[in-house]
Amino acid sequence: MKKITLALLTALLIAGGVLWIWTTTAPEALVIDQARIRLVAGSGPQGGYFSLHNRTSTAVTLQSASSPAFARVMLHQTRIRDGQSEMQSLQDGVTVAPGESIEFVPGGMHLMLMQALQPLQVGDSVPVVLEFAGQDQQVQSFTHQFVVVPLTP
Amino acid sequence: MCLLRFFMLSPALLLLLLLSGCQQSEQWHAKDISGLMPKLRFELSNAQGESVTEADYAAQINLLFFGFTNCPDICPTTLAQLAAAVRNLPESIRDQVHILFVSVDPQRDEGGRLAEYAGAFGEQVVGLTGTQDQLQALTRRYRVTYGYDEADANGYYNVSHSSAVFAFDADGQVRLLIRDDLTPAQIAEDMQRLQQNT
Repeated sequence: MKKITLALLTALLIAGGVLWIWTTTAPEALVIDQARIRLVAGSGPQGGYFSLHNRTSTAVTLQSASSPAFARVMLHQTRIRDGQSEMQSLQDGVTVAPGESIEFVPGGMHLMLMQALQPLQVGDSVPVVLEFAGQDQQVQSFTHQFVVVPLTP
Repeated sequence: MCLLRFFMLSPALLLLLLLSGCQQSEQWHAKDISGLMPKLRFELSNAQGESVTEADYAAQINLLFFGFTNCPDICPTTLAQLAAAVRNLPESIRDQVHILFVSVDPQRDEGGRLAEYAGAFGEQVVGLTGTQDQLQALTRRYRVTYGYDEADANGYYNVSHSSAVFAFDADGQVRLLIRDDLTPAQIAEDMQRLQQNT
């Protein structure tokens, strides 16, 4: 009886451990969709938008982003306060609680993609690397394809 | 901390919006500000670097909006909204409406860059900028402000600017304050009324 209990306990511990590893490291547990870049004419920066669903059991922080197609990518937020529009860098990143989602949308949080290395066209697919830190401060990078869309749908 | 401040401010903003909504005349989707601001007047430069004044855009409806081209989010959103409104107008009056996009970042927005950015939104969008003195005279006149953040390690700096869009009638009188929550169809309706109402 004792042996069975011990075996069961061991199995549970292993299963628990596997589950813990899966939830903390499995990339599919962070879901990114509607990833898009709104094409603004000219050589200025472009805005990147997406939804991020944290389906892990721990909080994650989107710390930074980069793209081989742009010289620099920054996390930004537009804020309108007393009729004044301001753009701010999200220097501390954006933390998403377990089970929560965040939206990067026009007029709110956005990726500011600076200096496209090649001209972009509607329909292009652009890889963007998103870097996340978990509770253990371990950084994970995910590359996601962002589709270039016209400014107005 | 900043985020916290934002959420604390939201109820106050909402109340302000509600209050301004109450005072609004039923005829307009935008806020009627007739007589609350002076007539359209400015000295600026166009994207070709030529000096221009309000006289160059006389006898037409003008939508005045401030921004900068290093703005990938709110400026193109507003310009696209206004440009879509102009496209919604009957063809006969479309060329009697201009969107005056005034860059408050002349250091980076000279010549080609401004022309390319503004022109992409349609023929009715005019890119303008000016010296700091000219820009300050214009923004003071319409009681708005702008400012620059400190540059980061790469020399990039953010610009804060008014999100207001002012509509002037063909006589140059200020008439409407267009909010960003209006649809292009609503803005177009207001432009049509303004055109008939001048």
